[in-house]
Amino acid sequence: MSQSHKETLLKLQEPASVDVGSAADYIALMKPRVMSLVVFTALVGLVMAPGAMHPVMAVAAISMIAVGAGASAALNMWYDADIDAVMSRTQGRPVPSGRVTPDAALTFGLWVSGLSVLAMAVMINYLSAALLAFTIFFYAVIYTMFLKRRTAQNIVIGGAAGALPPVIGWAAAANSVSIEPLIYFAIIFFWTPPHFWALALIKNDDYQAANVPMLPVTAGVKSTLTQILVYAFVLFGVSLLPYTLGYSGLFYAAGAAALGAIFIALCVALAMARDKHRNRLAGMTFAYSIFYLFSLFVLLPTDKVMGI
Amino acid sequence: MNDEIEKQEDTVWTEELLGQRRKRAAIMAVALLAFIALFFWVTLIKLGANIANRPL
Repeated sequence: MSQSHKETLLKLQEPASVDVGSAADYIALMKPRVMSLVVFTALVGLVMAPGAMHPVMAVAAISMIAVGAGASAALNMWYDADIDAVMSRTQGRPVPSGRVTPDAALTFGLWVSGLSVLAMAVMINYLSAALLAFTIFFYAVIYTMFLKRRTAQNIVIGGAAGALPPVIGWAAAANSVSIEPLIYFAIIFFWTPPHFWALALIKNDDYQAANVPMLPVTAGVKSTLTQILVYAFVLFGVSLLPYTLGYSGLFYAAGAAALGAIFIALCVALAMARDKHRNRLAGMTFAYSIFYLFSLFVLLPTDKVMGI
Repeated sequence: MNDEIEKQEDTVWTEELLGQRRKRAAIMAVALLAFIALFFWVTLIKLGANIANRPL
């Protein structure tokens, strides 16, 4: 056990008793980087939906989705404080570092969750509010409390929570859900495993120390690399569905195919990499996966505007 | 409850911590005001022309 690990465990035995968290700590509690992807994909769902939405209503809908996502992240940090304290990537988070008390994180998460769902119902519509409530529940309870520490399929099933924002955005604008937003859901759903497992490969020691059954911990590196590759191929096919089903044009299809081909090439290189190069390639795959998803969701509305 | 009060009494509220808490409260107030303004604006949009058409 390393010295810093020992110190962290000692700190946990004496958790923060008084909330001295700054505004920045509470913003960190809402995982702003994850929130940016949620906001962006929700915005695309909203823009792609049929009919026009008043800009102020759109701002209100996206704000409530962002706040709801942040609240579920706060609940996640409250529950996961013990394992966050063990992992180098998460040790500095507000709860394990003692800047925000667990009670304060829980109270903040619950209040803000309730407020975002209630405001969504009153300002936008009941369907989008119900979907937002389900997303928060799925992430905070199903993923965080049940799946994460029990099964290697944690992020596969739990990925549904991260895949729902474009569906909520669509429902906010159209007050209905059709095949199209479900395809956006499928794109993010099949994107999540290779994205997360690339990170899990780099942080394998952390997950082992925290006893979190991520795939590289339970099934080994080789099996993880194979599954990353399988998901990359499935994702390639799913990403072309908007074109295949006639919702998007050639511009989107060409862009998605090119981006997907690069992603597959990276995953193949990762699968074939020797041990000493594996972490570097896993880092590249992880970084590219974020660029890939952003780009796909930029292509969708761009294609709609261009109408090719 | 009493334990919590005792723990709070033990905490040394330095100038830095107090300043941090004041800043946090101010940001929370701004966020709440923004939320109220958004709520008000959305209400006006939803009422739309019906504001003028209400029975007097």
